[in-house]
Amino acid sequence: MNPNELKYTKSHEWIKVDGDTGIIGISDFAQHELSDIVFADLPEAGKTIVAGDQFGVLESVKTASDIFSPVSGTILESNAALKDHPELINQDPYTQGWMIKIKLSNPSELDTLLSAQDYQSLIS
Amino acid sequence: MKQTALYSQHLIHGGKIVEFAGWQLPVYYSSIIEEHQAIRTKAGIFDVSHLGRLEISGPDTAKLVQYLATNDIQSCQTGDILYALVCNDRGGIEDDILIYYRNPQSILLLVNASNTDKIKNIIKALTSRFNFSLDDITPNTVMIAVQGPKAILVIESLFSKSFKEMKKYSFIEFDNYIVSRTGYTGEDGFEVIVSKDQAIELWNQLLQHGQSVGLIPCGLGARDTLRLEAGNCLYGHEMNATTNPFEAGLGFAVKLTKPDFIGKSKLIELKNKPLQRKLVGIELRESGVMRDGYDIFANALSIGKTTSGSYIPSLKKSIGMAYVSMDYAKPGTMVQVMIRNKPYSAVIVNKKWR
Repeated sequence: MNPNELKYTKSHEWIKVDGDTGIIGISDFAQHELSDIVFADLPEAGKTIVAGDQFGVLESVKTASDIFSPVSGTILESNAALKDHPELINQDPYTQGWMIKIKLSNPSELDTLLSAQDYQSLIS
Repeated sequence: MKQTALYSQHLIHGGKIVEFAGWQLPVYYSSIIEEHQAIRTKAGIFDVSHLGRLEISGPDTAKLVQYLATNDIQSCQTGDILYALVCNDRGGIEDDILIYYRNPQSILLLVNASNTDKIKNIIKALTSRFNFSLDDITPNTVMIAVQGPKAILVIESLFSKSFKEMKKYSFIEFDNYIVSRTGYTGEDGFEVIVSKDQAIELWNQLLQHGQSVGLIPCGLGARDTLRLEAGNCLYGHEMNATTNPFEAGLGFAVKLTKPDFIGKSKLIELKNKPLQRKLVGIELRESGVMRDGYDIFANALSIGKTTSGSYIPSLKKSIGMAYVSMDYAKPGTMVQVMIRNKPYSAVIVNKKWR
């Protein structure tokens, strides 16, 4: 259920890499734990972040949760569809529920992330 | 950590368990939104066994309760339920309670889970003054809230009798059950107290009798969004030992003309002073979610703080309650709420959304 082509963090984010750009979201496990996401507070394009930095906040009905970047780089875009439809993160966390697109500044950081299999054993 | 006699049922229904006031209870089973909507349109059940149930009996029962609580039980009759506060001698609120009046020698108090030990201690300290005994029946009983517009159909089907004539804030006792027309959700509903041995049977019977109306089990998450939408105060949020009843809008439950009770002289003093701040409703005017403890500004001045906040899907906005200075308490007043160090536009409103 966690797509094999993605890399994962211990804090339940995923990244999909294509060349030097990455797309970041949260795992199915994470969306299930948060339940009912009603607002995604995401950064503007142009902002630079460092791996492990908090880059946004997800508000569920019950609580606010920080989301952390798996990699360093510059934000290219935030998912505009989440503004009106934050529930896409619950419904489709790996495709329509993506959060930010980022230009990687240090692709070697990807080697420190978890494979789908490692992530699965972490949450099992 | 304490578990209610229904804990096994919460696990069976897939409840996500959290700690609340020392109890392990489900925050939701399916989703908070779904459970909130079930209560507004159909029916749902909550395990509220964590609420403290204290039985007072003996010759001075009525006198003790009159001294303990701010409301006046003088005109209560058998089967009446009265909302009241327990204050301290500084006029602050120690708890908000329901008084189940049986007769002058027997009264049941329903208190908040987080305050049960505190209230027991306050009562025990009065043993030298009044002749009564205190029995905490919380561990030996369960309490299930059946809420929603269809709750009455479920209760009537379960007990095979009519409840149409039953008044709000009243209770009846039969066959080991205490059934009251009460709740915290802003909907019609009932609460049932029964002995621990019958807990699972009652839970399953309610699910069975509620099946045809779409009744589902609901958790603490929906209980909180429902009470917020109904503008009901929650102890520890809108009230604590330093808030006074008048600024909380709870003056209706304080009867200053009745004989002496804890905090009376200070409450008379507070009543005669102009309020410094007031509990209001607040609505966010942009995307985002308010939570408890957020600072509120107007004209670059700090004017208050939120006490509760959430997002109500059916309203498509974030609502909350807040204490603000009197100058800014009028509905329609524009303010800013600080969310993660950013100002968000908000407006003061009446604290009742349904």
